[in-house]
This record gives sequence, C-alpha cells and structure tokens, in this order.
Amino acid sequence: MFNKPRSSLALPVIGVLAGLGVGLPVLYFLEPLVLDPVVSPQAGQTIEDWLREFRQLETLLVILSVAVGLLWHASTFLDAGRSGDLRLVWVGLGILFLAFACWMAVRRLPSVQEGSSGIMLCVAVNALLPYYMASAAFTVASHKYAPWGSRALRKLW
Amino acid sequence: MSAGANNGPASKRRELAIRAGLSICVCILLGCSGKPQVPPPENLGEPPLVFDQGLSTDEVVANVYLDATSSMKGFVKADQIEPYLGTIEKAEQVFAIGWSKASVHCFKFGAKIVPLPGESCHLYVFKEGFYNLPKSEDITRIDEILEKSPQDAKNLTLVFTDLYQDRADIGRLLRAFRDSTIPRKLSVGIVGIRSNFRGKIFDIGARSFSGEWDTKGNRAKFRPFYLFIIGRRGNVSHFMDELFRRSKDTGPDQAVLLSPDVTASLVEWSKTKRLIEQGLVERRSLFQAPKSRFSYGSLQVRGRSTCTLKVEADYAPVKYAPTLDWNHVPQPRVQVRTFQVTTDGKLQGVDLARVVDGDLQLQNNKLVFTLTIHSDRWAGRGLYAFDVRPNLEADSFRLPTWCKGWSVTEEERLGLKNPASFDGSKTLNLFEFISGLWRAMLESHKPQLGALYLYLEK
Repeated sequence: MFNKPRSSLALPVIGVLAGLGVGLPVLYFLEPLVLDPVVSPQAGQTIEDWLREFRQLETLLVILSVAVGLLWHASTFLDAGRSGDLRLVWVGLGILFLAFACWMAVRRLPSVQEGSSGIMLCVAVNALLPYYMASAAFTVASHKYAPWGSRALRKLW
Repeated sequence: MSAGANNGPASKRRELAIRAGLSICVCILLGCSGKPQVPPPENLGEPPLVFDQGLSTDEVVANVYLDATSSMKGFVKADQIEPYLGTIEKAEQVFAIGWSKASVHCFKFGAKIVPLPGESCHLYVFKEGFYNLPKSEDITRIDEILEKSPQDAKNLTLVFTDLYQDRADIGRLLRAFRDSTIPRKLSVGIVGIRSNFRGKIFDIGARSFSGEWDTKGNRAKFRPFYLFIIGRRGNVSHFMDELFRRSKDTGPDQAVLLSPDVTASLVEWSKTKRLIEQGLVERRSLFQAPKSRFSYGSLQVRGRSTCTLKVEADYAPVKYAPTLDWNHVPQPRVQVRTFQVTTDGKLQGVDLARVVDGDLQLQNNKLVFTLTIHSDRWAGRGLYAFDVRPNLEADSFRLPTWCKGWSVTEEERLGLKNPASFDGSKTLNLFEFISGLWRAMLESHKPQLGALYLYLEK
C-alpha cells in the first residue's frame, strides 16, 4: 500500500500551505481590484455587499481546491507509479473541480447586471490556482512531473 | 568577476522592487485619505417632515357644537329623527368608550355660542325652543366657533351643521380656518350624513325663496348634515374610526380628513426598493459618510451614455385623507435639485436640467421614481448631490366623489326660478368649501411626501 518514504508525508502539508498562501491573498487582495470596476450588481445591492458575498463563497472554494490537491497527493501515495504518472487523474480532478466551482458560482453568487465574464475568470483562478500550487511543486518523486508545468516550477524551487 | 559587476543587476532589481513597493503604499494611502467629506443631505434643501404623528391622546376634551339655526329644524321635525339624532348620540358614545379619559361640553350656536349644561348633547335637540333663535342670530357662524373654541392638543371640536353657506359665508369660514385652525397644524375631519327631513330650506334662487322639503322616509331625498371634527390628526382619525364602527348610516366613503400631512410615513432612500440601476453602481465607500437623520444613496456612474435609476417607495396615505392623483397634473411630477460637492466639502448648485430627467408614477399605492441620467451630456467629473422629491400641488390630490356629488354650486342656486325645483338632498357650495380648505392647508403647510437624497460620483 504505502510505498513512499516517511519524509514525503511533509509534501502535502507544504502543498496545502502553498495553495492557501497563494490562493487566499489572490482572492482577498487582487480579485477585488479586478472585479470592482467591472461588476455591476443587481439593483439594490451595493458593490461592497456583492464583493463580501463573493469572498465568502470563494474562500470555501479555495479551501476545497486545496482539499482536492490533497486528494491528488493521496492518489500518488497509493500508486506505485509503474503504469504511468496519473496525469489523467490530475487533469481530471482539476477539470471536475473547475466544473463544480463554476456550478457553485452560478448557483450561489448574487446575480449581476454586468461583469459575468470577469467573475467566471476569477472563479476559475480560485478553483485551479490553489489546486495547482498544492500539487504541482510538491508531488512525490514518482509522480512529480504529472502536473503540467511542474518541471519549470520545480526549477524555480 | 568583481563584486560590483556581480551585484549590479541584483541591486538594480532590489531598488526597483523597493520603489514599486513604496509606490503601491503611497497609492493605497492616498486612496484611503482621498475620500471627500460631504455635507449631510438635510443641507440640500428644506428637509421634509411629518407635522403630526397621528397618535391619539389618552385624554380628550370634546366640545360639541349643535347648529341651532332654523334650517336645522327640519331634521327633528321629520317623522323619524334618524340618523341625525343617532349620530349625535353615537358621537357621545365614542367619547365614553374610545378614550380612557374624556369629558364632553355641549353648546348650541347660531351667530352666538351658548353653553348647555350636562354631557348629553343629543337630548337638547328635542327641547322646546332649541331652534328659536332671535332673527338677528339665526345665521350659521362656524367661524365664531373656530375663533372661540379651545384648540390645543387634547381638545376635539365637533360641529353638527347643515353647512348651508353662500359664497360670502364660505370666504369668511375659510379665513377663520386659515387664521385659527391651520396655524395650529390641526386636522379637520368632515363626515357627511344624510337624514330624514321635514322643514324649510332657505335662500333658494336669486331672490332667496324658501321652500318645503319633506323626505317622507325616501332615502334618495334625505337631506345631508355634516359633522366637523377639528383637532389633532390622531384624535380626529380615532374618532372617525370609532364612529364608523358604531354607525351604519355613515362610513369612510362619506368622510374626508384634511390634515397638514399628506403621508403617514416619509419616503426615504432606505425604505425604497431599487428596481433598476442601469449604468449605476451602489457604493457605500464613495465619501466620508455624513451624520444625518435621513438616509441617502451613494452611487457611482459607470461609463454608459444613459444611466437609469428606478426605485419604488411605499406610499402611506393618511387615513380618510384625499388621495394622490397625478392624472390632472401637468409634468413635471418630480423635482430634482442638483449640487456639486466641492473639494472642500461644500455644496454648489449646478444646473443639470439637460442631463437628468425625473418621473414619478403612482402604481398600486407605490411611488415609482425614475431618474434618467444622460451621462454623455454630462461633462464634469466629480461628486454630485441630488435632492429628488415629488412635486405636490393641490391638483395632485383627489377629493372623495361625494364632496362634489352632494354639492350645488352658487350658479345652480341662483339659476333656480322656483323653490320646488331645488334638490334638498344637496348642499350649497360644499365642494367649493372642502376644496378651498384643502388648498389653504396645502398652501400653508406645503406638505411633502419625502425626499430621495442621492450622492453620485461621475
């Protein structure tokens, strides 16, 4: 079952911290600057209230995105890596979570008059960036090149 | 490689990073401290107010005045004295039950006011000689009552009269209301009741004939008499509620309450429902919020050629009061005053007549304000303040239909050649009197429905 060195158990933890460390500042500091000028909430809702509701939902999505990263780590720990590097699983998890995040945004975010495309772009960033940060640079050696761009990322590391 | 050559690009990068960081900090600091301070909305114009909150007092002192002129004699000479007698009796019952503490004082009046002992005023109308006033005093002088009756907060003045007034009497009566009742911000309730009648009707035609009128129990021919209730709106309204609960001969459809207020609750931004905000974004953080007892909207104009703001506010009409009806009023129904907020936080009037269009509709007891801003015609950037309020005139209100339906004009009266042709189920100049009193009230108090205060950043 578990065929990895014990020291590799630290990798998911670092991945989680990296995912949250990048995802939350982007959500709290960068995205309001992007969304504020493009979003027009429905009549009766202030832009501040809309952004607050956006942040509440997206915080949950960032945390879930990191959790999906942990799922990826779990699958790499359980797999010996002899029949491929599970890239398809990594891509599949990302796509599935992206679809879930978009569905959540459509269902739960207050509707707007303008700025839907900007919102969906931010939702995609919030869904994928923490997952990517949690998984790309901190995957165990046997699957370390499965995430796209991990080679370049690891070079920076 | 020398140390200097090695450190050159790295130190440049560091310097660049520090500069960028500092620039961001400065921008953030400037952004925070750059919010303008704005004057509170009440500085934009005379703030609207409700004169009378419409609450009844715990204690009431009722002064009941019975018209004892000869034209009233017919109400008690009929085979049945109802509903005239019953209405006086029920009015007395209202004071016994409707207030925790009440006292009733009775008076009869013609040209002079005569106090009557006791609290059961209705018993006097049967008394021998009640209507036999000396000829010189046989004239209905309600104006005397208005001048002499105490009209402070807990007093309620009730006048039972047939209100048969020619044009000169109406003028005198309206002047009395203008001088004594209106300045005290009191309300006037008028209840019309039709009753059995057998007696003389005076002043018919140009030559002032008198003619007999006998209703013989025929409801269609019943002659109207009126009950005036003068006092605080809350007390007048409470009295009318209680009277209508007890009497089957009158009701809200035969009553009107003329009050210094045209709404029980003022229209305010916080009480509105925003329907459309096209090209506008509501933003709380546009300026440093002023301390104010009025709510206000703060909006930002987005880059559109035309912005639309449509809001809906509840219209809380005063009970029994004339209803709003703008169908006969020429535009504009809404008044928009605009100001620019200067950098030192002062207001400067600006003419944005070409830029801003305002409209107001009354739909299912909701006031729907529409503000269209032609942003492309609006050159100046900055922060602006708007005071939007309904434009009220006397024609903006509709009196109940009975006011006109029960009325005979002076021209109709003068045109009568034969006393028999007079319709005794109507009252001379009733509409002229009620509409005149309403106009006088509106002109004196200039009541408001409320105001929408907006701050707009362009």
